[in-house]
Amino acid sequence: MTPPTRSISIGLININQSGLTIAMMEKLAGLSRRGWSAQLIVIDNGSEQEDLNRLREWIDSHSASFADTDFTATGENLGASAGRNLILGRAEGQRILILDNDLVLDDEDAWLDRLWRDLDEDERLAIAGPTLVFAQYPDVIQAMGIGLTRLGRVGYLHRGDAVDTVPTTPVEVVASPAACWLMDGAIQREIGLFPEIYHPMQFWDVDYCMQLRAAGFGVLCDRRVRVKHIANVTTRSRGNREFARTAVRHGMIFRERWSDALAKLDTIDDVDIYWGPIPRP
Amino acid sequence: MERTEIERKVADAVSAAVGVKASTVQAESFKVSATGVFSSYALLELIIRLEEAFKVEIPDDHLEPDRFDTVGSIADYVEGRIAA
Repeated sequence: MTPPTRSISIGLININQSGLTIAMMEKLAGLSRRGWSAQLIVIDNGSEQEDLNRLREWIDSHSASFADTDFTATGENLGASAGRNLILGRAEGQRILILDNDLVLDDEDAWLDRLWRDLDEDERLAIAGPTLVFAQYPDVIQAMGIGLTRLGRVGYLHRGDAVDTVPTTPVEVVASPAACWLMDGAIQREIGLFPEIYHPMQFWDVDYCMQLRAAGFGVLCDRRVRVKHIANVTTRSRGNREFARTAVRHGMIFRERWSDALAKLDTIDDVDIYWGPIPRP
Repeated sequence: MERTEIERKVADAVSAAVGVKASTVQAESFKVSATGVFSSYALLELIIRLEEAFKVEIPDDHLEPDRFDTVGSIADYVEGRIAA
């Protein structure tokens, strides 16, 4: 049994996807039974009323499953980082679990227990993240952390590789996708909130990891831990012109902000970045 | 706008998008496609930089990599867009 001293704040964002969010919360509700003291923080980033009602109803009827629940409906889409900043402002746990609502979590808590221990073992670590695998293709890696090119372009490490062909040792990475972050609460308070200059999405998480690095903290990808992620639900809409342009513009801002650090970073090559179809042709 | 100024601005945009010095980019033999970083992402960054530098709009159906492979070919294209 997990010791009851593990106090964790879990943050979720919902936008018109109450089905996915509720499925996540169903899994998270089991944590208290396993000894976790879990504060659930849900931010609704401007859903339609029907979706909002479903979400509110679920949280109201399951509040006993958590040490505390906190639900905020913003009435508008504040964007990825500003929405999550509301989570940070409400988080009271020793550690903060930031999750996309399109993860498919295991019934057991072994994945979270492992990430928790990772942070226990090295106080310099600010974030521990898992290997993300495609929920539709759980034998294929979505990301084992994030690498950056010398121009600050993002690559998901090992994207498209088969899980049985990649290393399984924990490794420090430049950044980790914020789809699943276990963060140290004290370090988060020291560094501050997520940058909101990348509104509404993209690059805020990588920028935050760069801030952590600059302050001497580390980001770990525990490659032993696998979490399924339903790709492209949260933000991506392929072929969407504005999405692509926003992502590129934010990449330009990111490069401008971190050009000195990028020059000193152990970078990846553009040819190592694979954003093609899954499974790989 | 003079052709030389167009080429200088194009070279600056290409230089920033692919991370190569502007003086290198301006060489006649230079090809963007040979830099090894010319992904659809880099092409889109180049387009955004060109749009901002020349205050023109470049439609998505004009995004053919061959058209944006050398400073000369890009300058030809931009001149056409300015005149349009």
